[in-house]
Amino acid sequence: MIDIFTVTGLVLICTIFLCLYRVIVGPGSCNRLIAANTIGTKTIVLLVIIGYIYGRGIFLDIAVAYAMINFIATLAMAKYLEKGSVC
Amino acid sequence: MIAPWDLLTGLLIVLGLFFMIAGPVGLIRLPDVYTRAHASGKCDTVGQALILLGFIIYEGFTFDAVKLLLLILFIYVLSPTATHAIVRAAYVLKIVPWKRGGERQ
Amino acid sequence: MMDKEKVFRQCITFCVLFAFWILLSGYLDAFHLIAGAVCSAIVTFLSYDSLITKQKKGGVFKLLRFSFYCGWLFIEILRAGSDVAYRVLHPHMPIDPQIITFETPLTDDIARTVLANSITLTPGTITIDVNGGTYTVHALTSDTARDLTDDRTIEKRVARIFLDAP
Repeated sequence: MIDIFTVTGLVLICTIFLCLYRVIVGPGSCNRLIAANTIGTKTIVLLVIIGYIYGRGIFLDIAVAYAMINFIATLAMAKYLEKGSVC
Repeated sequence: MIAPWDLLTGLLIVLGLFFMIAGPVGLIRLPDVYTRAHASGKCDTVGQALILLGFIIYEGFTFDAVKLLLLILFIYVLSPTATHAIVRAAYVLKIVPWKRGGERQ
Repeated sequence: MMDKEKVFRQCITFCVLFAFWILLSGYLDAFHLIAGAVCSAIVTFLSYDSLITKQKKGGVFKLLRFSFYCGWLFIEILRAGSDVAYRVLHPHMPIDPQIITFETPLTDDIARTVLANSITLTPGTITIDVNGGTYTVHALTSDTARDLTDDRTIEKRVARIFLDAP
């Protein structure tokens, strides 16, 4: 089972590199922000997989916290693009 | 002999990985911000839900399984909201939507 | 009367926060439980107003109907994902994007939020802007756009949950 998890993690890293193409090339900040948000979602799954490979439950808590931080960061960036300031 | 639960876990993970790969491919192929938001918002939500569901089945009935379920629900609520915020920013910045036959951005 | 409702709301908020604490800590010994109770009490005292707002009658039934709706939404999201994946992986990319606006008769704020998120999660549409009762929606194909403006399946379902029927 651990082998399957390892392969899944490697494939996920490859898809993160595909998203990174859009972050580097993408015209305008909105494209980059969408790609960055996608990378964030994939990182959550990757954290859970790492937790299961090394058998450490603490990674699940990190994943929950990361989900919230990713959401707030995306929201703040979108607000900044929209209005020119965060508040 | 593989246990049926492990088989189900593997199946769900492979299915989730398919969606996880389709998302970035759409991110690269589609022509403008709005259509890319479709790809990133939906494929990723489905993919992560299927993979984490596989982990719940692998885990059985424990605290960690409930935590994973909570994580799925979080992403279900948060992912559409984040996509909505980004697309709204693009709309306010007056980025012109791509029409059929137009030039890709 | 007012006081009783306030205490009730504080109790529910405390229970939800304490359950969340137990879930995230995972330890059931005395130290962690007491620390969790103290923390939940402080947070409840500071912010009991924001989690549970003023309720009309039938909150429990609303929650029950909402969980059934979540089940229906899950299948719909699976369909949405496969639809987008098919269009993306197709060599010619059969998409015809367009922006449409429509009015909704829903008045409740939570109902409107649920409708907006549901539109984003169902096949081929994402919500761009909600201004009062006017929704601006980006649709991937003309079929899905027509579904939204003519059939209004999602809107009827949301209206049935919140008893906010037009």
